[in-house]
Amino acid sequence: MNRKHYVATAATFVALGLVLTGCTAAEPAPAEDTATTVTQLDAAAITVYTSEPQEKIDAIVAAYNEEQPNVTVEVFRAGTGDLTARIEAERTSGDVQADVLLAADSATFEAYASDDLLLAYTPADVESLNQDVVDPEGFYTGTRIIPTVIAYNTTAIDTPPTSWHDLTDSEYAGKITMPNPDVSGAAAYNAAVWMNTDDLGEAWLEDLAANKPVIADSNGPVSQAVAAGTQPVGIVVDYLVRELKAAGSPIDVAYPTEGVPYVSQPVGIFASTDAQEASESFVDFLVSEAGQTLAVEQSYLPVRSDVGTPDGAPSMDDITILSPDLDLIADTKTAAVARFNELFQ
Amino acid sequence: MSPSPTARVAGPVVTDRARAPRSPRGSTRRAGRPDGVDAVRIALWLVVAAVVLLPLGAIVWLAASDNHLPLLLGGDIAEAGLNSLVSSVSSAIGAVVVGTALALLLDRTDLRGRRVLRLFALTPLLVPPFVGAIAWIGIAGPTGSANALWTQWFGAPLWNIYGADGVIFLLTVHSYPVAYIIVSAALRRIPSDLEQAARISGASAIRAVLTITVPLLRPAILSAFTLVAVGNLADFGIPSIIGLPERYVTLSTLIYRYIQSGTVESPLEVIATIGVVLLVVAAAAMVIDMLVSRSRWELDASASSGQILPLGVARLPLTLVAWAGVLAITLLPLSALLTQSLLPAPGVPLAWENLTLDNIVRATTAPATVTGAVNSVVLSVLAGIICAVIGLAIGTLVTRTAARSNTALRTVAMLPQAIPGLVIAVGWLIIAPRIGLFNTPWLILCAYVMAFVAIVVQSVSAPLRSTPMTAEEAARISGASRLRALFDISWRMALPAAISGGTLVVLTAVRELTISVLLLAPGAQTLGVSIFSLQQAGAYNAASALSLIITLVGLAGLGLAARRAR
Amino acid sequence: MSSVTLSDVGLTYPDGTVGLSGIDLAIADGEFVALVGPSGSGKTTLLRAIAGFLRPTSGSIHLGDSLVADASTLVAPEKRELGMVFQQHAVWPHWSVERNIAYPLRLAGVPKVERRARVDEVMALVGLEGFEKRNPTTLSGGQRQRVALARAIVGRPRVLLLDEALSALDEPLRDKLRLELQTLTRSIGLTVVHVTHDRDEALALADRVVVLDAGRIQQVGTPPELVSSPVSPSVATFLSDATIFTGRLLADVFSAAGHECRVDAALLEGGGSDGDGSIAVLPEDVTLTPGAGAVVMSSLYGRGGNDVVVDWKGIAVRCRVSGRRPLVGESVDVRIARAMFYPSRLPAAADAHDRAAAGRLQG
Repeated sequence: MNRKHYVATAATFVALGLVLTGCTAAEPAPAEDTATTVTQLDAAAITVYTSEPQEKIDAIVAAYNEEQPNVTVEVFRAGTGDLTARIEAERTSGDVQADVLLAADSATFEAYASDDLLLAYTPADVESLNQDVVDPEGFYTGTRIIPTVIAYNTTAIDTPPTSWHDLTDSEYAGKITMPNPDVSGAAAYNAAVWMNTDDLGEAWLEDLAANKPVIADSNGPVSQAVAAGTQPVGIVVDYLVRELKAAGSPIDVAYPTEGVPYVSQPVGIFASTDAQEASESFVDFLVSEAGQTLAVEQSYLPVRSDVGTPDGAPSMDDITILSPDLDLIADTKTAAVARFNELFQ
Repeated sequence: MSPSPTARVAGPVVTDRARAPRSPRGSTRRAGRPDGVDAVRIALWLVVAAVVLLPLGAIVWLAASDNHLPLLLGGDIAEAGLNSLVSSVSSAIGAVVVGTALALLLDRTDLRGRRVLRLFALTPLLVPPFVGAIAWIGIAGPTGSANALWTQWFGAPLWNIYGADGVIFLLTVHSYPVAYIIVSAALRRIPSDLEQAARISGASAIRAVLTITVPLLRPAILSAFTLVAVGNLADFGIPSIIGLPERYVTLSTLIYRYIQSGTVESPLEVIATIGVVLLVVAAAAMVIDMLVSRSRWELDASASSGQILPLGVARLPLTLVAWAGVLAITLLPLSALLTQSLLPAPGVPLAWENLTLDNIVRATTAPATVTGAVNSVVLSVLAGIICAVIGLAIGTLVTRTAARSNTALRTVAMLPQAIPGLVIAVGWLIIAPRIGLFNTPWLILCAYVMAFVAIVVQSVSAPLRSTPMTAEEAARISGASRLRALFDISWRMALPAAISGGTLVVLTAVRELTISVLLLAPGAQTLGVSIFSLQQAGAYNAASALSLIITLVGLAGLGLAARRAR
Repeated sequence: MSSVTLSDVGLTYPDGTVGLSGIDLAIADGEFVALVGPSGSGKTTLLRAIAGFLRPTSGSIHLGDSLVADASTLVAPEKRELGMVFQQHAVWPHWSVERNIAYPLRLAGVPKVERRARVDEVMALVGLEGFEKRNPTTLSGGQRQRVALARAIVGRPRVLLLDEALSALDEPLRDKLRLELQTLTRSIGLTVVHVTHDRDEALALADRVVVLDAGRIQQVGTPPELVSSPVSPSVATFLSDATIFTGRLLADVFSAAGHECRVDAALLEGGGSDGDGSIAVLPEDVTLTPGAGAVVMSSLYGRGGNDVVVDWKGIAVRCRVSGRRPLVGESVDVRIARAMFYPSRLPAAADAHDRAAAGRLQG
């Protein structure tokens, strides 16, 4: 753990970060085919803070190490809130101790970027990616498409709902469960997207509230409740549903026709890193063909179109993705959550 | 020869043998000069300053760096504070009522199968509260098994666990074992003749228990109440899983809202402010506890322990009621855990052909789980030992010696109980780089000690409060210094309580989640974090399997400990 | 050679309550001294000051010729080489009987072999042979007190302090232990300070008895001295249940104020000149004759005479009468054979106490 500078002042690193930001932004990323010309780096160690499940991040690190055997990747895994708390605490007492952050949603990264905590880096092969998940300023890049969809228990529900509007039908009264936007950043984001989608908006939320959904803690308990039949219909991220289904749960997923809000689990590099090259190669790997193939194997929808989609998921072309203006979402999120809380009280 | 010229009353010397004058053995000491006990007191203050005051100071400093109270007051802090207060106080009342009733029934009557029942009664201690909460939703959630059955039979659900009543119920379930352990330790010290005196005076057995034994248990009941109430203030898992669906927000879930939703500018300062609010509430609780427990009485130091009370005709019905009650609150969630462990995924119907051991294999063979188990066991046993030693020292010092700083010492040791693990962890994270413990297991150990030392302090004070001070005075007269008397007499007498308190710490720490999750070094694991990770990864059934295994291993350990103690 | 010397010892609590005041007392080596007095008189306070648990606010205490307490010195209890037995015995429940008794020797660093021998010796002395390995919780009250006693004397203390040591025991056992205690302390020549509220026990055991009241020594003397010549009405009342009459001595006759009691000066001890004062009449100095002056209120049988209380025109008079036991309700006349006269130049405190004592008797 001695690679960290406990004593260096934050100011130095912020300044350094600015310089580096300037450099990378000025020079476009070298256009080379990463799949064939990966150069092996010298020994280095990076620390990744992530909310990825332990088994998945372990697999990612293992695959990355096949390409870069000399880079040691230390993983600190925790929920988004715990990660935020740890990063904030580290900022209070000095520097963020991580090199790479792979978690949460773009809003978190926007906030860190505006605090000058992030290094701008455009990953190799950026042209192949879904441009919606690439930060134009280069502070972060989405690594998966994690849409919020409708999940239903196949034992309890005969004709599944296919649209958000279906959920307002009184036949689902008392049967719906969804995550709490106060607790889940993704749920807060969803609330803002729904409010800003013309077809849905506040009127739809009001109708949904009339069906009295159970507001569960986060996505995990929602998918569990739907699989167990406790609440047979849920509003939840799609990969959890696919995994449960694969494990044998009577659960399936419907991608609502109006479109699905999604988060992209971005990755970014902290400006205080002292292993910039290794961190960049890790970011490159995550969005590379190999990295995205692994993501698909791990049940995620990918951010590039050349790796297919997970078993049981429709092809990317068949899914309507809601990609609203992020600034608008950022501006209206607090109000949307407040309105949500009023309605679902 | 008289050494004092002013002695005017000198009686006849009636000696039948001459005694050689003896030279004084003891050196005279100036009054008030510090002795061994003062040194211990100073050492304890230093320990407490390092392990409690330093991180608390970091939290207070964070909270003070900007005034976030207006923001909080504009938010839900008043409502959340009230909810916290109501839920922790009422669950603590429930816990001491259940704990005391169980202590009386299991330790003082001829209830059938009480030894086995005692083990069952302790199981909620071993189940992580967030796992227990999920298990209970499967039973008493809106479409949980109990409610589904009830709806089938009577057309309406029995009881919806979500909301305030469910939070209070589950907090009670998970904290009554602590109350039971403390009260039961005190019960063993109440001499049976006091009860017998009441019987002779014409009181029925029940009445003797209620009017004599229970009032004599008051110091222990109060200790348990304070510990449980303050501890439940900090609980996060239960209110978050059971309370939030009904919008029942407590201070500890409010903390997560602010840290997780990213809706506030400086979340750390805001949650530190909530932490300080909780500290104030806890300090108030301590003051009340101190005022109420000021009156104390002394019991015979070596009185014989209580007699088993024959229940007579009530034996069978009481046995049935006790077994049914305990099994309902312990075996139901355990069986829910067991079913989940044996099924591949939630929602898979319970049938022979569906049963699988995959989850158990996955839970026990994952490398992360194994290292997590080793870490947890090592850290929690170390924490248990350190807490037992520090708690024993603090508990005896503040109850057996007179010093103005006793109240402060006890309060400081108790305060961290009231703050959620997240806030404790943040406090340690802030000071960690400066003390060179960042990303080491010792940081977690320090935080465990801070969070759990109160358990031992309370376990130790309860029995000591009713022991006469002459026990130490007899040692002083025998030639023991204050320190030696404290060590030979007070500590030795409180040792059993300290050991049971230390065991409680081990059981609590081994499944701890929030502190560990934030303070772990990258790549490290603990058991609580392993369960939580499995849960987050959607491997609910593997998480259940791991919880079940921890519970069963813990039960076996408790059973062995109980056999050894007998 | 004095074993314990108290010089002008005073003790005032922080709240202003006076615990002890002007205590001067020298206890000789090998002497058995009993401290008696009503509750709150300061006897336990005095004992605890000797033990070292309380610090005198004035005066000094010497043990042998070493100063253990004065304005600038306070020797800790453990350095005073004392033994002490508490009312609630304070036998440590977590150790065996033997371990309890051996504790002072362990602290003194006595080698194991000698320790064994001495523990065996005192256990035989207090009659606890065979109880070495017993758990104290399995012992009876008397046995526990023996353990406490053995523990107190095993270290050969300079002084043995007994704080109501026998009070928690039942009567036959207390009586038995009382005898044993005397034999024991005399045979090994212990200096003993014994606090008790039991006057008979104090008179029976002690070489000298110290009567305390309101934190002051009222009288020190051998048991016969105290019984026959109490220095004040309060001592007479406390030790011997004397009846007090206040009045005036004039022309060789004492006349009680507002009462028909008259006593010839010839019968008064302490003599004195004419003037206001009070007399104390011991129970054994009262005789009852058939008559109508007083009514018998209670009449208890006793081996040494019946213990009778009569109501003599509003004053309860305690008498010890031999022979026929009067019946309750019987009318009698009271005759006083002897009384002690105390002119009322006594300290105000004692005077006040006299009135209180008289009031108690009347009530």
